[in-house]
Amino acid sequence: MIAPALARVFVVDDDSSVRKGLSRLITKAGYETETFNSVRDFLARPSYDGPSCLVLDVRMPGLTGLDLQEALRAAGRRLAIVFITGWGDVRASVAAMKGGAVDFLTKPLDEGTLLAAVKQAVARTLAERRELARVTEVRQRISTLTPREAEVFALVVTGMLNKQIGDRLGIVEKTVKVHRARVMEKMQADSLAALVRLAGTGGVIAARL
Amino acid sequence: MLSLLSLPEHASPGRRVLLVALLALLCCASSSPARELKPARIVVLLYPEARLLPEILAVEDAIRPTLDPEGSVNLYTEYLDLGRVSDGQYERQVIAFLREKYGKQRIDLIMPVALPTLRFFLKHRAALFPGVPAVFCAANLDGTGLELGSRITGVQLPSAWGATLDAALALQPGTRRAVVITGTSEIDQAMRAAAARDLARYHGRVAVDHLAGLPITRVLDQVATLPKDSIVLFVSLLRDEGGRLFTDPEAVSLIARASSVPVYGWSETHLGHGIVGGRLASFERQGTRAGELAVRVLRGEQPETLPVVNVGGAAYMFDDRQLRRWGLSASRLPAGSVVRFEEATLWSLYRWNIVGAGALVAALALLSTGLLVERTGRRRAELSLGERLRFETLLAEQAATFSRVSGADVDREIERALRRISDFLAVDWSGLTEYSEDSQTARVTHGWMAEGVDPQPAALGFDEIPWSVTQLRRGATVRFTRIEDLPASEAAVDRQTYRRLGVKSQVAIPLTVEGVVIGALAFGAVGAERAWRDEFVQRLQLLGEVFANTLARRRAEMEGQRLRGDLAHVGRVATVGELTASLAHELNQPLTAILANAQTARRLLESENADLTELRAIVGDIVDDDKRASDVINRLRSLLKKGPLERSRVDMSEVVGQVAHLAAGDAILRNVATRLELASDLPPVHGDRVQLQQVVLNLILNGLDAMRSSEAGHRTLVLRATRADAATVEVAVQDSGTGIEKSVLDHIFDPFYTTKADGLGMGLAIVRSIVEAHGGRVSAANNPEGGATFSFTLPVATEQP
Repeated sequence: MIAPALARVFVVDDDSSVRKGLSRLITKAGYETETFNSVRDFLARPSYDGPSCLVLDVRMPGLTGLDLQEALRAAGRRLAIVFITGWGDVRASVAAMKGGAVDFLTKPLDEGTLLAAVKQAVARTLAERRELARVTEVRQRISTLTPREAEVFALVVTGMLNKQIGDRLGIVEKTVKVHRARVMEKMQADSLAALVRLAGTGGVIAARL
Repeated sequence: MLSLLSLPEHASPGRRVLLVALLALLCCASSSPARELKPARIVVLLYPEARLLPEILAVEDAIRPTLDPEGSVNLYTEYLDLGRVSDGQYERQVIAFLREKYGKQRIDLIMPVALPTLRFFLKHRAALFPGVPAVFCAANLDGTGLELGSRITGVQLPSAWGATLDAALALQPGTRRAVVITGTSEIDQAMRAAAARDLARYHGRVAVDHLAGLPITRVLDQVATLPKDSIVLFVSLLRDEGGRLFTDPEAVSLIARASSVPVYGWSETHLGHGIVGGRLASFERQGTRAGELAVRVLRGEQPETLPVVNVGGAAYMFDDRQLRRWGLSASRLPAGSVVRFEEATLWSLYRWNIVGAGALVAALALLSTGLLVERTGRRRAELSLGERLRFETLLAEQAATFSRVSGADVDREIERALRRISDFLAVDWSGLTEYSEDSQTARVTHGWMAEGVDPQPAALGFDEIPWSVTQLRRGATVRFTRIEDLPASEAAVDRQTYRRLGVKSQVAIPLTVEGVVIGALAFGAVGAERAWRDEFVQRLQLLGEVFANTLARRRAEMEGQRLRGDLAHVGRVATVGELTASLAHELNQPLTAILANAQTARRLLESENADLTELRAIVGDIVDDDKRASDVINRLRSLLKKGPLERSRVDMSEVVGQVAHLAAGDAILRNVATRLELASDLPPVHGDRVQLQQVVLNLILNGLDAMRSSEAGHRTLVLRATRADAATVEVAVQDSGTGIEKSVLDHIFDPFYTTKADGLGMGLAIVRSIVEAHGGRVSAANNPEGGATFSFTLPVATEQP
């Protein structure tokens, strides 16, 4: 097996021969494939949570591949895209890459290039989803903090000592210690270093204070 | 959140004092320390409508400065929309809302405006505003039997229809009938009752007919056919039977335009909208007098000691243009009448002087010109409320127009807007200039000039108006009534230039796109000096923003088109000319499938136990895709082929279908939806297949080009092959592009005639020569729904050649 087991590749192209040929090639390389002849058909499919990626034609009648990229982005769906096009359209390729595409390949597609891009795209989809899950988890933990604890959290991770934090917040050092312990517990951090990392992942702390 | 006020406990005493002082300063900064602090007085203005009627604006414009010259009063306004009070639930909600909003505040004064509001206020006063004094205005209490009660005074607006009818009878002695127009709103009905009372005493002399509670269309029909011995009295039409809402100026304009006889009104807000005139009330005076009473009540005088003031029809006012329209003699107007909108001429004003005193003629003419100029100037400065509103409406229309105007129409719409606004402002010229850094000039891109005004130069160097350009580039508006208003030394060069050009007065507004001043919008006078009022300049600045946004949008659109155009052009110059992009698409699809299939097959062959069935299927697909690719090549080859004509029987449906297929990629690239309407039983024509393909291809490419500037999503190309009659086949290519200008239509098939920047002008000429060589005819026409249709006919082939 070259590819991770059970990764699924969605092929969207308006040309039936192309769909058939690509899906054969990708299936033989060890992926599951699903084909769609238009952007609308793909959007009608329920979103898929497993490892996956999208092989997407740029130019199609009706909604284009770039439209789909935009729609997925707007819907917050993380799905890495390999664009394929019959014509080296510079502007479309710039737009696609700016929009976060893994690659932009010109037809006819070389087997090696295509499969490398697909492999990379599946890996990226997975990584992005893991990252998203991690951030969501940390934010969820942050949301359990009381406003006072959030303040203490924000100051602790800047490296302030308990006494300084107490002065800043107008509370005694002992109270700061209690809050700090609660923060460590709620954030499930076993050290200050871990807490600082969590603050970075959460990304919202600096913005909130 | 971290509190600003928590002081660090270990702060040194000195620092702490400083901090406290700073905080104290912060707290005081919002109020002026010099003046003794008195709590602001709270006054609530109640209006009957949900709309900003011109009358309401006039009242409020007058009340505010009278009531509150120092800014020590908090003025609240409520638009009660009393027309809906017959709906009990709405009334309860309004009361609950007012109680919620004002219940806990100490209100110093209530000011109900107009009769329905006063009624509402008196009905709910005890519950809503117990003990709060009140000053009403713009209400006519006559005949209403309304009990005012205590702690209230105000300004009455008695109707003056008697006075107006007297004046009308003097102007039109033959009048036998007065048609009174009213609508269905609360105010309309109250005013109808009051007018009926006023007119009752003319019983026997003038018949009074009421056009009340009709839809506006019926009202307009009726007034259009009134006999000559009638007049129309416009009383009030805030809402018609159909529920349509009007302001008085709107309703007056409609009715006066339709009416077959003169229309009289009762308010200054009607004048200038088509009424002849009448004894007209001034809402401004209503507001001023009410404001004066309010000031006295706020100072502690008891409302009971202040008698209700009557400010009725303030003056006889007439519209000179309407007097002329109906042939009414100004000499019959009541003494002291004010005549507005006079088109004064030297002759009419000073003819006796001119005729009588030969030697003085020149001197008087000079003097009277001066007077005239001053007079016109003043009239312009004293624009009535109605005109202000019309100006607002005009600008709002422009803003609406420009928000949806597309790239191609921008120039036309800007010129139209300039014309309309210049007409309104009675300026001599107006224009948009664009700054060019390369040539250091301000170039006029759009301009308008009144008739008889010398053309302004097409461009001015920055060095000719350096001060003005500097000001405008800073975003400042440059305006002067006379050239001397410009700073003497800094703007010396500007002064010189304006003098040379004969500019007397000018206002120029910077056009800013993304923070950069790209040019200016200017209005100027060359005939006489004129003042530019702040309120107009502010409105014109808004217009400047509208223009700037529109130009910015067009720039962006053009940039996008140019990029697309460049790409298309790159494709064009390649070997097979116009079809490269399309061919790439057409060929790449089968090639992609072939390659993918071949590589899959190789993988299969490399594996231990190759599935022969699958391999067979794959190879079959490869063969099919290869055939598809060679079809594309063949179609192309037949197009490019040169050689002797090969006449044969040709099915035009088939030809159109083939060529459409070939151009499909081009259509997709350009976001064009293609529709085929091909008759399946078309009789064959006799001709050269390749040449006929060429004709169809040229028409398709022409259609695609025509839609370059159409909105994406609205680009449709319809290809038709039909039987026109027994002996003729017709092929038509219909686009949804910009259509063809009339002047172009006659030449469109001529060789080297082109409207495209990059066109050779040969495509359509080739079409014509081929079609005519086949005994057919070409034609082009605009579609009623937009775009153009190019078509050609060919004779049906005879049985056997």
